[in-house]
Amino acid sequence: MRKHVSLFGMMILAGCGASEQNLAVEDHGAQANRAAEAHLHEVTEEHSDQYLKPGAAVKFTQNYDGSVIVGETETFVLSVNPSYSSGNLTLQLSTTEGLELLVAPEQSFEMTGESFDVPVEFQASTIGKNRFRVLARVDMASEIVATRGYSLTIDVTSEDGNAAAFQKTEASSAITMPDGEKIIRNTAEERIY
Amino acid sequence: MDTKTTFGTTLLCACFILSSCGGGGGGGPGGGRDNSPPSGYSVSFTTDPINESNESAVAFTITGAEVGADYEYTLSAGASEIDGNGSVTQASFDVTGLDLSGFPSGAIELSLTLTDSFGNRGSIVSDSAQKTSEPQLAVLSGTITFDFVPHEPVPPGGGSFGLDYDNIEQRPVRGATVEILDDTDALLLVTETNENGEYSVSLAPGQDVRVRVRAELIADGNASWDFKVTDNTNGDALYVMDGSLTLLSGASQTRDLHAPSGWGFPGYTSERTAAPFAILDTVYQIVDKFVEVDPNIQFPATEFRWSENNVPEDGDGSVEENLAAGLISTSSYRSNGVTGNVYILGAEDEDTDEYDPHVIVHEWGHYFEDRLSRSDSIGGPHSFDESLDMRVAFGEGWGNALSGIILDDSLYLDTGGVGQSQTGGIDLELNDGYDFDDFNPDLGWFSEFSVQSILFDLYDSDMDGADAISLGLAPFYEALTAPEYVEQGTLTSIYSFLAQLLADNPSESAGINALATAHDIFGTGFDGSGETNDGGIADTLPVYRSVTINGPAVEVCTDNSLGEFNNHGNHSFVQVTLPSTGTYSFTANRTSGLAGADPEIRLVGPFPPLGDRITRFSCGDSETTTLETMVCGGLLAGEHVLDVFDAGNVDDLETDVTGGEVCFDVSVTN
Repeated sequence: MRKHVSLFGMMILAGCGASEQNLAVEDHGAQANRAAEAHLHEVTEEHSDQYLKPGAAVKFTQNYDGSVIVGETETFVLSVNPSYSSGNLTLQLSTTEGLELLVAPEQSFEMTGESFDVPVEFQASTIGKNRFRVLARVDMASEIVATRGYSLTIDVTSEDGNAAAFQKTEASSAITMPDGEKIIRNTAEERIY
Repeated sequence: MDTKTTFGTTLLCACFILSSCGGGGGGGPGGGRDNSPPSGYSVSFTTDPINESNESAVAFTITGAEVGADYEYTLSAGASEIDGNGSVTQASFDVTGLDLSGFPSGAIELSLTLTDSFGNRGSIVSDSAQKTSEPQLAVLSGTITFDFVPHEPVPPGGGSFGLDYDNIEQRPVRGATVEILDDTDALLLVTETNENGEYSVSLAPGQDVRVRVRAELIADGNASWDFKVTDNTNGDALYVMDGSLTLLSGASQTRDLHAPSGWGFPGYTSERTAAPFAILDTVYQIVDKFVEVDPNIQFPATEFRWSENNVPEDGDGSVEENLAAGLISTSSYRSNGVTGNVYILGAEDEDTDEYDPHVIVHEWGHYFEDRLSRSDSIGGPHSFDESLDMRVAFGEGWGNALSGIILDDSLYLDTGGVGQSQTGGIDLELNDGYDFDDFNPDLGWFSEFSVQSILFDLYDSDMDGADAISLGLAPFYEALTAPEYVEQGTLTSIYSFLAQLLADNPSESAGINALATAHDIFGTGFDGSGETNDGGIADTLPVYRSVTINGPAVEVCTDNSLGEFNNHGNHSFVQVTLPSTGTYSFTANRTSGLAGADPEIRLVGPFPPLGDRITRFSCGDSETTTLETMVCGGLLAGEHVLDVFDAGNVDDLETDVTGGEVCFDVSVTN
């Protein structure tokens, strides 16, 4: 499910001689630093301030219940909502190593403009955070393909509910320099001569 | 005999004649008296400049000397003086090892004479050298490179392809900040790489130093910019790559640093050091193109936030919590009205974008609109072939076209999937005349595809289809930053862009209009007046309706037949001109359609109290089931646009019962 959450600002019109009134502001304009001068404050409203990369017009929702115990087999429904009335949609399903996918990893569908459900089943084999991943591939023409990624964190716990540390290789930790700047130091290959 | 010491001088010939005694009385060669003094000789410093590193071993050279003669020299600077002498055994030789550490900084004078064995004294010859208090510096230089993973070639006839890890290229890190640090991480020097990735600094040798390359492009000259690659999952820390802490020795040393991709089949097996620098290199190309257009361009600072933890997952937390956890949904530009940043996916086996330059430029295009131009786009998901809200269609089409413009590559590619082996994309050169079974987007003012195709054709030099024009980038920049465009009383769309472009380039009207017409865009002017292409939803025309203060209401209708939130037909636009600053009341009252309608109004106009900022806002809302009333005080005089929509058509729940066609009467009173 897509969430539309954006930053809105509340501005007091005390400076313009009018009766005081609140304006909820969604900024999409230039010279936005003026907004800071105008004492913007954040509130939340149902709008998007997020400009996304292009991709296949396919939306996903799912009913995964959010928990799975190691050794269990889990099922949920992945609801797929393509905006296309024709053409072929391929779903490539995959997981990280701690999960064993029990459905076909690649499934193809002829699109009709209607939403459809894809049953998903996996067995949780390793305690820790794992990922269920979907790549939607829409073949619109011989040389035109649109893709859309979607993923879900699957937190596999022990029977007592404890989860292991995150399994994915941790990114380098940030360090704070003497001047207060935070940096992530990666190692270079170096040749000195 | 001069008995003064030579202060450590090593004379190449220590055996000399006691010339000061007038010679040996017939002891000269041939036994005859020679009355000719030595001549034709000269002296010069071989150590110049003299500094802390060489002051204890200064040397000079004597040439053209008469063998058998004696020499005497004096080195002086102020009150300091050193004398020396010796015997000439060959015509040219060096005097070395002179310790001038006690001499002050400044000019040091050297004078020398020769006296032959008959006591004939030659003329004084001299030279001078500068002594400085600065140490002799070592040159530390090198080349900075990173692994760039290209896309595999597009298979003939289609098929899967992805990132080509078998053909990783080493590319220069261009324009990046290079720091030289000491053993306490204190900054000694800072410079930047050139277009070949090269850097060079001079500093005192004999100390342990480290070379650090920061993933940032910074300039503060006539043109200025500040672009950084940071990690949103690590406190927005800046990525750097470090060389080793190593002794800087000798007069020069080369240290080349390379950022590896971290790839080790079948996955990433070590730090993905190259990724931030791959992103940075795309930004370098953007900056390079725009500075060429405007040498005085001022880019507001922004960050490209990338992490291998950035996954295409929505998350259930707050926006801030999700971003900090890497749950960024997809690569995107996010603005809070004051600043904006680009978030880039880095999820291995899901979706990585650090090696997808078109994606990076696309998102930067949103930054450009937001920070240097204007965008009224409401954002949200979109696809090449969807019919979208015109504001969204223009913003996204601009981003797509800009990617081809900056990279001079019309093939927009976006890799992902397991092993980054899948690619989606489109050729920006595609026009309206192709014949594909499953790809026939509706063309028009609401089409991202039309916008990208028109804009790229306006730019490129290839003439195809209706494309008989080649403007380059400059007219885009001029139009999008023109005050008339930024402060327009309408909304950002293909109409307002083309209207500004035509105003700036009237001689190109035929070529510009031909492209618009080829994409079924018939409306003209900033407001698209006269448009006849409704994109399948009759209610969307005219593009703008207008209402007068205290005049009759105007009816608008919205729909969700092509999707919700940001699709064509979700929003209707009503122009109104406020005659004076004051309080105004705006209403939208359902007249037909969905019984459960929930009308909403947003206002776009000069935003008080400064008046020079266009924004989208609501104020003083009150509503009943089918009536929205908005009372705003302190509104400035001028053109405003009401964005009228139904909440049920923008909640992105296309399967629910709240959306559908609904019409409202819109009125404005004061």
